[in-house]
Amino acid sequence: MNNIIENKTEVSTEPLKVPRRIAIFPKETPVKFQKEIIEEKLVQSFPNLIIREVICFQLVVIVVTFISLFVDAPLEELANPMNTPNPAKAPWYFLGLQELLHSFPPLVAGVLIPILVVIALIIIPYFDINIKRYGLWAKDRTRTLIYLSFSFTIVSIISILYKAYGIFFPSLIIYLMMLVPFFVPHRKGIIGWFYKMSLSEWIVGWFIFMAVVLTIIGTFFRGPGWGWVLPW
Amino acid sequence: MCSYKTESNNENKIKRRKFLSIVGNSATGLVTFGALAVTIDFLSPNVIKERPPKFKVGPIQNIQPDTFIYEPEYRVFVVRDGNGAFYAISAICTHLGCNVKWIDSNIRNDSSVAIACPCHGSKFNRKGEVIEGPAPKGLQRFRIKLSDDDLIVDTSDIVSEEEMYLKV
Amino acid sequence: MHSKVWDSIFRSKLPINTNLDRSLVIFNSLTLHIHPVKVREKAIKFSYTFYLGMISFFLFIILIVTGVLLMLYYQPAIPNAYENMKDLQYVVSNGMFLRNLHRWAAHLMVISVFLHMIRVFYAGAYKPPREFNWVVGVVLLVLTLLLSYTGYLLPFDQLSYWAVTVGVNLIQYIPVIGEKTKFLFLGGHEIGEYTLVRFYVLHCVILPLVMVLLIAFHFWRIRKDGGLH
Repeated sequence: MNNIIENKTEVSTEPLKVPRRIAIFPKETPVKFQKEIIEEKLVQSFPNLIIREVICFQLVVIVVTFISLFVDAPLEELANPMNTPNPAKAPWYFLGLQELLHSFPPLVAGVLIPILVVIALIIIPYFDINIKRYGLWAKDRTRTLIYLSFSFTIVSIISILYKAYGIFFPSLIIYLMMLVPFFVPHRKGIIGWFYKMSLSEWIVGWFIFMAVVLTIIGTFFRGPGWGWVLPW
Repeated sequence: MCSYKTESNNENKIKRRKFLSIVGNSATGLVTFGALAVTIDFLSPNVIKERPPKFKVGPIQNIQPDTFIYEPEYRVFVVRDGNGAFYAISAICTHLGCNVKWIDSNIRNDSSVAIACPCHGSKFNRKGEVIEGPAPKGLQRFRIKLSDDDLIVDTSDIVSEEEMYLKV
Repeated sequence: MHSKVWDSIFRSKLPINTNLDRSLVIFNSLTLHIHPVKVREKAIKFSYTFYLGMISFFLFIILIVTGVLLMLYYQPAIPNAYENMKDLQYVVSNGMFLRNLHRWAAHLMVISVFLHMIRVFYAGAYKPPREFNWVVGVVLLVLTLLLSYTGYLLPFDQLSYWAVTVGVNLIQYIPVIGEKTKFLFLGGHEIGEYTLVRFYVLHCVILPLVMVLLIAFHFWRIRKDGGLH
């Protein structure tokens, strides 16, 4: 509710100096007060939606069947507590986490980071700020640049300190991508797209990029003793 | 007078309702908490089929100085250092429980890497102290005793560095 | 077609020609709890949602069917569990195929649920009044990962054993309750018979049950929050 701007009244005898103004409306009304007008074309759920669902189900079954016909699920020898395979890898979707565990203390990488990610995901819709999603550079460019560079410096210092180059380099790429619209006045194509992206979209983009990069590193580029290997 | 009485009755009723709701809610809370506690208690097994904590290694004459023996079932290294003293360290990485491996048995000094973990790259010296990597602390040290000609390692008795040596 | 039996099962009379008939198909069936009679034409385009939620749900259906079948040849004991895997591979007719289906559908489901979340975020589809359904979605993502992870131990091969060792040892770093929680999960100090049974029950009973309930709730909320309409 903090989006509502309070009415201000000023009183003066000179109408030229202070024109009568009873209420001030913000230039952009918060989304939740905008009346949603949907005058879109409606179609019958049956058969339009139902047929799409049936086809989707059939395609899913076909794809999974084909994969299963040609690729066998792995099965190694019986579990043996006396012999750790080298390297011992978690399922692929946890390899990003395992890669973090390689660099950071386990309390941070294994407990704090996953819990913080889940909490961050849960509270996303409860934050009112930026619900209209202004572009990152839409307001106060210098201050944005300072804040952004400061945050990036902190991330870099921490990741380099812990030799987590798998975090540093993807962050650097995202940071440079964020800076492009600041230096290049071009507003079309991919740069225009960057210009329109809001801070929250950049942060989630960074998170996804990190997750993908770390998972790929963990899956393909880690060998015995969690050392660096090439997959080919 | 009459209206006053009704009012006080109403007040009393509200107080009674509040009192009853407090009692009811606390009783429900108590039962929930109790059920949870009983369930957790049920879930922790009292009898576990695991190995006895002590095992025997020997005879000691067979272990040369600057060598070690790996006991795979207990995942313990029994080491004899250059001075002839024995000590036993766990082969379970303190980081996430992988089995560490002795990568270089020719190491004589304490500052070089002798043991490495295959999972996340932690490295330890021959006394089990962390040299690099994510392991938060050194490998566990177990008390080791002499009985006749054999060494007895007690994996339930974790000791400090000073206590871990057995001089022969 | 207009037999007594048909009419008792399907309230709609064939042939379905008018829009009224088409509306009644939805209106007179269980589908009304999930779909409105009419939907926005834009909302059912592939390019709008990529059908990722739908795909995740269908993969979950495949997982339930194949999972229940696999249970018939599986004993959660050491070393029976591993021997059962070998049996599925070499002895049971189509056993390997069924196991493949289950394994690859599980992996695909993790991917599709994750992509679904990203799609919803970039479409801004979590904004009020849909904020709570987003939270349910996050819980469903976590449940998907947990289901996949508990299933990972069940073949009881080297891969499962060490992946689960690493994961379970993470729990002990949680301050205060870490050690106790780890002990409860494992039913002992290291992975053993009790652990296998615990993961089995979590994987086959507890987590799927919660998952089904939450999926139903998730779908209902889409409808109530004005999803397709």
